[in-house]
Amino acid sequence: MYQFPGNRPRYLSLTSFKFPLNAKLSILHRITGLFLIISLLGFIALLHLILLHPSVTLASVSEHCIIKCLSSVFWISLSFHWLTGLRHILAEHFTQPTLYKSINSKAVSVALLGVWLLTSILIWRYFWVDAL
Amino acid sequence: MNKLIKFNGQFSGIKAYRWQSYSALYLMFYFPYLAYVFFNTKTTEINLAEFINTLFTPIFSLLSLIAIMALFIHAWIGVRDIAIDYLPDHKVRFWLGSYWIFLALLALDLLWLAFQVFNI
Repeated sequence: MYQFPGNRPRYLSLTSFKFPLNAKLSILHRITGLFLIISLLGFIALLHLILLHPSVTLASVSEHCIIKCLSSVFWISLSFHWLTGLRHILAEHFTQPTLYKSINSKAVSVALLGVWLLTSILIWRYFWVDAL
Repeated sequence: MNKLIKFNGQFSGIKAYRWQSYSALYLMFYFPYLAYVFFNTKTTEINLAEFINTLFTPIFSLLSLIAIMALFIHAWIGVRDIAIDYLPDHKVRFWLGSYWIFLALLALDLLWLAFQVFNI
C-alpha cells in the first residue's frame, strides 16, 4: 500500500506561485460554488419569512438593502460559475487536440471574463441603479 | 443507467463525475431561463402568490422539481470534492457527514414548507 512520505502537509506558500489564468478561473469556480450554496441558504430563509410571516411580502423585501445585496451577489456569482462551468464542460467533452486547445486558450478565458464583467455590470445596474 | 446507480455507500470518482456532469448540464439550461423570468418580473409590484401562479405552469413546475433535485446532487458532490481535497484525512468524514445531514434537513424543511403552503 502506498505510504505518503513524511513531512506532510507541506504548507507551500500560495502567494509565491505564478498561476496561469485558467487555474485562477478554476479555483474561482469552486469559490463561487460555495458562495452560491451560502446564498441559497439566505434565499430559503427569505422564502420562509415570506410564506410564513404575514407582514413580509415579496414587494416589501425587494427594495431592502440586504436582499438586494444577497440577490446581486447570487446572480453575479452564478454568472461566473455558469460561464466557467460551461468552459469546464466543453473542455471535458471536446477532447480533440485543436478544439481542446482553442477552448483552453487565453483568448477564450479573457473573453469569458469580459462577458462576465459585462453581465455583472448589468446585474449591478438592475439592482442598484434602475431600482432607485 | 447502471453506471450511475450501483452505489455501495461511496461514489467512485467516475460515478461522482458523471452525476456532477449531468446535473450541471441540466442546471446549465435551467438557470438562464430562471434568470430570464426573474429579470423580467417587477418584484416590487407583484406579490409572491401571483408570481408563483403565473410562473409555475405544470411543465415548469416539473422542470423546477428536477432542477431542485439536480441542485442538491450538484451541491453535494461539489462540496464533497472540496472537503476531500482540502480537509485533513481524519476530519473529512465528520464534516462530510455533517454536510449530508445539513442537506437532508434542508430537503425535509423544503418539503414541510411545500406541505404548509399547499395545506396538505
